Amino acid sequence: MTLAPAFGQALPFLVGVRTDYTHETNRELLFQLCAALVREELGNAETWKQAGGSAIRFAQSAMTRGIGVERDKLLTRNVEYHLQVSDALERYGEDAQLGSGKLTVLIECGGSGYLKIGPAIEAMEAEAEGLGSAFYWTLTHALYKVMRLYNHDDALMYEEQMHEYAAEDDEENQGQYEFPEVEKALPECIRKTLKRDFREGKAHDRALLRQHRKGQFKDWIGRLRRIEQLARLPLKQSREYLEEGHYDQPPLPCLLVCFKEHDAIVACFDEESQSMLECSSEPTLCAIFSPSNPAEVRNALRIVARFIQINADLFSLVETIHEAHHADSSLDRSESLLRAA
Amino acid sequence: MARREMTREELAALFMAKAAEAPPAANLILARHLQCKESCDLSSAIAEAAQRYAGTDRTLLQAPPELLSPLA
Repeated sequence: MTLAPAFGQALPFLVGVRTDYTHETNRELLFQLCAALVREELGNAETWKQAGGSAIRFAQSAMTRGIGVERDKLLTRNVEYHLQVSDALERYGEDAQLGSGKLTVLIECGGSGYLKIGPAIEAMEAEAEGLGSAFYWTLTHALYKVMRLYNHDDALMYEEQMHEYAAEDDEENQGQYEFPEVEKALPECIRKTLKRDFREGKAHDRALLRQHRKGQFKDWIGRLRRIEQLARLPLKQSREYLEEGHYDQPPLPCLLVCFKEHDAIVACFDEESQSMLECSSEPTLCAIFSPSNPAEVRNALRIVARFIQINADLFSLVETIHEAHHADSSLDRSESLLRAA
Repeated sequence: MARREMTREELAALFMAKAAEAPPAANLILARHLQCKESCDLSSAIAEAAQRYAGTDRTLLQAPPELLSPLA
């Protein structure tokens, strides 16, 4: 069968028609950013060639190169982060220009990671009393410095809130409340250390971890030590700008830490996460800088680099812990993502 | 002779020179359109219409009858 050729006027040919357009508002800032990325050795002539003359593509490739393939894969497997460089920040739910030649680098969390730490604590407690709780508290306090977690603390607060709601409600509705009983769900070593003196507890934990740093759990303790050291770096984010943003809530949690599958902490997270995406949340990381000021660029890059490295160390520790106890971390994470959605 | 790659300093200088240049006219027109409510509404309407056309087989593009037989 021979098909007649299509009539040229029936449908217009698309050959030669541009399929993409790029426009750059505040293009001088974009090019200054590209120059800064080159000076900081994140992009080079090869990156520029591959970008095909697009400054946006160049900046994206340079930043992706800075993150690195392996770290990118590790983070993608475990958590959902969005990194953005912008000339605007949210003000009352709408984007407002920063002005004065400033840019902001933001990292937002769209789906939290998952750590089931109970089996690891149990194994460490079997090695030495207090070692499991020392590991847990040290990790928790190090991570508090750089990201929001959802852990026993949030679950306890949620439970307290439930009790308050129930107390204020009519008597006939009292029976409808189910309380998660978070404290009962905690491992004994954590329950025992919940209300101890912070400074004393910290010194005790540090000594115990140091004592066991060459023992059976040297790998986990070594990774924890690295996270702790990175978290201690005095890098100041631009949180004051976020206060003017009037966000509805703090950043979304980057990590859900529970002790057992489907325990009371997971149950509380399930309940609370249903409304987490309904209102605006502060970004997880915010650094404002002027691309023409090398010191500000370097500071912003250090803040981002530290955050990415801590996350890479954290999720590599999470995978190691889950592998040691045959937990399927990828399955757990997708479940928690669904919960967040 | 193989072309020499730009050094880091040369590439940074190239970007700084571009930063100082006036934006191209096409870029300005596009930026103006993207800031204009009517233009944004029009482009959304076209995109929606194209989606509706591509997503259903209710509407068929009329082929000129004297050259090709209609498809429906």
